[in-house]
Amino acid sequence: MEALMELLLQQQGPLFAYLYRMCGDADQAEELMQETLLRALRAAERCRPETNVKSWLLSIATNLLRDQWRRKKRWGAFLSLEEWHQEAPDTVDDEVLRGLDCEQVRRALLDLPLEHRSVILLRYYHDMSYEEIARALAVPIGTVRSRIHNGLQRLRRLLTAEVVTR
Amino acid sequence: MNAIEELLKKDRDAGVPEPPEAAYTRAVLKRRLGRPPAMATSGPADDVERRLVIGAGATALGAALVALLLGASPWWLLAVPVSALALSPILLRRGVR
Repeated sequence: MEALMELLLQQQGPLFAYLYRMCGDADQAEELMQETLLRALRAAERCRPETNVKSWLLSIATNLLRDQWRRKKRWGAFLSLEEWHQEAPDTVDDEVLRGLDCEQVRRALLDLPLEHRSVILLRYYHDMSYEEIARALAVPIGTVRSRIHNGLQRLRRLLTAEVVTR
Repeated sequence: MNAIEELLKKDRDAGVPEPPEAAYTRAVLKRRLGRPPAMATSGPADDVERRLVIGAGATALGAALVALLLGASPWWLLAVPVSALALSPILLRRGVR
């Protein structure tokens, strides 16, 4: 147990960063990180020598978030077609988008449905391959591809709205 | 790489607040590991759930006692533990999924 705890604690940096970006609040991220580590310690028998500890922890963290947000019915909150068209602002040039700051990017990320946010974070912030994400989230690889594609499109729309309204 | 991917990379490189010290996390984990799982993982939502279950049980028991005082058959008192069985999945849903 002690050895596993030390192994898990080595990953607390990436785990905390993932949870912080998922929920946007450091205190909440800390609580969720402790809960994730506890769940991992209680499921120690699932951690085999070939297990990628970071992927395993991120997978537990995502399940934990999904459980919490399901209670609040915020997981996978898709827009209806009408809303989609209403919210689609004018297109802006890539160069203008590049001028946005990190705070605006974080706000837009937090506006994504969790299922899009989680795959984008795992792919672009934690360098996980599509296969690793599929394994971690227990979904088909095609689902990962489409979530990333749709998530990026939606993020573009949110950031474009940010440019248009500022 | 398109503008969105570049923005994500910029945000990633900007970093996030530091996590707590490993020693602090270790101490918290050791303390929480000493508690039973249900207690260790309970949050505000679980407390509400538990209070609802306790409230429902108490109401059923009260109604049963009143019925008993009024001369009804006491057999349906068994309905309380039987219906508690149906709630067991809610009370036991814990652990890694």
